[in-house]
Amino acid sequence: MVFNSIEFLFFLPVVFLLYWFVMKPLKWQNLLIVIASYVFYGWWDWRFLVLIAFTTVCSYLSGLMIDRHRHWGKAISAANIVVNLTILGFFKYFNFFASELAGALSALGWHCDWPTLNIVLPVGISFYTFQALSYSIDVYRRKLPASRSLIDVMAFISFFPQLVAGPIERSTHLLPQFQSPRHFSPQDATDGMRQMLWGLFKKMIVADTCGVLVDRMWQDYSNQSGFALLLAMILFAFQIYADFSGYSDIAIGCARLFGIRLTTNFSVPYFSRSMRELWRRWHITLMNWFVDYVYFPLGGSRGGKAKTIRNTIIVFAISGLWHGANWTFVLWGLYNAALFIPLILLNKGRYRDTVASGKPLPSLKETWHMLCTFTLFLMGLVLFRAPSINDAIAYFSCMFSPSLLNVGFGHDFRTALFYCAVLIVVEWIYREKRFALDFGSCPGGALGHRWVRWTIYVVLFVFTVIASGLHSNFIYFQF
Amino acid sequence: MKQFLKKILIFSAVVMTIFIAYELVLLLVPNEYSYKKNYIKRHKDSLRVLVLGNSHVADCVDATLLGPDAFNAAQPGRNAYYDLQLMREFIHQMPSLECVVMPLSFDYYYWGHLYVKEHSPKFNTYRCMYLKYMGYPYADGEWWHWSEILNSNYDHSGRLLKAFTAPLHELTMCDSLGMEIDASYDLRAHNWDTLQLPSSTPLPDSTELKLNYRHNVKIYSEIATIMRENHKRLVLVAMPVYKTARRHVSQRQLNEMTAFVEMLRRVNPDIEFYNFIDDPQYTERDYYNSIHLNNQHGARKFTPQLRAIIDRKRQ
Repeated sequence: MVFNSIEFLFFLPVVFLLYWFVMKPLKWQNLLIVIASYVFYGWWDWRFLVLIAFTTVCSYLSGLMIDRHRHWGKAISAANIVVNLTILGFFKYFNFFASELAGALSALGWHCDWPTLNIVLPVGISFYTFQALSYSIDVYRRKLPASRSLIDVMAFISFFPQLVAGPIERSTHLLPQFQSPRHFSPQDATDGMRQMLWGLFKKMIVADTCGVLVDRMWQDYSNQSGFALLLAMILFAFQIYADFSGYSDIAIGCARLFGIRLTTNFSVPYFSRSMRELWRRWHITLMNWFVDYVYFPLGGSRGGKAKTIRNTIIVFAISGLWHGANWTFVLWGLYNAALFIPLILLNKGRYRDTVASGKPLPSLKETWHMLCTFTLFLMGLVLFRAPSINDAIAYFSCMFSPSLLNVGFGHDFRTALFYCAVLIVVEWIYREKRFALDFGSCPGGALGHRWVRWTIYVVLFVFTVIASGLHSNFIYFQF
Repeated sequence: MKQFLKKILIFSAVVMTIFIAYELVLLLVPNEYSYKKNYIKRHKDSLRVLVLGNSHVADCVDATLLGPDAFNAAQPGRNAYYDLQLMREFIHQMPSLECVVMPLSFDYYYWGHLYVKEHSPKFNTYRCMYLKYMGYPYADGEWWHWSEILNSNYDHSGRLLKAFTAPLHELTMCDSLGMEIDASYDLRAHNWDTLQLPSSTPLPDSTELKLNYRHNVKIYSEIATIMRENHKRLVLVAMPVYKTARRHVSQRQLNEMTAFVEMLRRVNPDIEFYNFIDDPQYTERDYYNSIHLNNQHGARKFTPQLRAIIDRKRQ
């Protein structure tokens, strides 16, 4: 089931009403969340529920065993990691590594027919596997006690708003919320609805409009003008941002309806002044996961510059590979590492505040820094989108041709760019808030009038539904 | 909680009212579905030649070249089920009708029914448009598919905006006699091989396809019966395909097509069938993509051939 579907339009109110009116005791509420989450996931393919259940039970049992046999904690945690990564590796990377191995062996003169399997990638497997891993590791690190309740752990790993595309929650943050009573807060629920509305607009209007054009350009890039390819590159940046951050907004908003707070996943990354700041604002929960469970265990920045560089490269390469079984993703990760490392070594670009904080517009210097950062990130996204490295190179060579100067906008491009401009303006205005329609925390001016706010909600919702289809999937489902 | 639920209910009521009004306003904006049905309704007394079927003929039969009182009522993605509905409703009211032309693609009798099943990305769109604008439900109690907002992949908001400014053919996507305007040589695919063809994969012997085949046999048989009972000619044509698509068409598929026609002839011995698949006169510039002739060169070549077939019998 996807958020932008008719099924979800019926599913959500039913679960909401049962949750607050029928299943009032905590245990029953958690059980309902588990059932609802399994229905939500099983709507796509019920067979893969077995995988989630298996991953959950493994993590639950390993948590209990670690708690009981502390001296074996490391081995148990490692075993759980191996089991979960084996499942992830099989479904996501088997064919990739099998064909790469066969290629490498044939280059050495050994020809082997390594079998490739027709494997269906379970939706969201990378997300829930990482969440499950975080639980047993955190229990091992004594950051939280092992949960005695399987239902609580199931609710934590399969919580439907963030099950298939994040945010990747940490057990220390989400699990305790399932263990304590929740109370309905009208303010929270209203904020949640606003955030969902903005997320739907980002996904269904901005991302889907850009996506159609980007796909069209990529299908036939060798016959497009350089300028059209440049536009497609920019539109892809907005597509992927609007798609993924839109999903996160809907997930966070949806969770708030149930009294659950999820972690912010995107914080206006395109207003970053350096790549270092951008990676603090882009897919925050994934990057934090890698920092805590990969970067720090490798030694982090302790142990000199060489180790810092090595660890950064490893984290970016793995995070690239996490996105998909293709060398393009690895190269994308390495490209970002190459831009990131100089800033660490020079200790530059470490912005903690939001750009132009308290001011309506950025300074020229800030604008320049934002543009440079966006451009660098943009170039890397060609690798992210390309089916192969050769395609990425060919795309660049077609783009950097004399036709790059053939400036021209078709009607479709103008519409997509207009939506992107709306996205930028609104997110700029609300860049210091939790999300773009966060009216609750700034009720001054015209927005202080209920009718103005309601008009915005109605117009935005009606426009979003009418101007888009209710059928497309989210990009990050495939990861 | 009460306050929150009250707000949600008010919001839903406002939004629902706007959506219903929007759906009703859309009914007033012409489109290909309503245009083609209304054309048949208005001209049922005088129409002499009627072209039904899918994009294979919708793109390239220029009714102006077919002689007087001809109309191309074919539509992209049209399933034979909807052709049958049109026939059921109109054939007996068409005294001047001499001939109905329909395409018979080399594997359409297998795949055709799938266009109205979940496999097709336009599954809901077609069901919605045929129900809302032609009044043909695919199954009983199909009211759910009436809403374009809920079902259609078409750009209905764009159509509504265009209603105030655009000429009729931009709304209907066809010329006044029904030929598609969006299938020109200039808009053709650059790479002939990029088109995903159902026929590029071998036909699986699945139970579902067998059921599908049986369903289509039933539909075509009823079409053949209606034509026989009303003493009208039924001309089936297998359209030309470009060499890049032709190499995907196996001998088995061609044999099955012939067998399908023979089976129909047992219901209606007068059915005429013309196979243009391997017609050598069609070259690259006649195609819109590898399985569709375009509405310029392709139409100017194919329509006279079709007219010759229609006129031959009359003489």
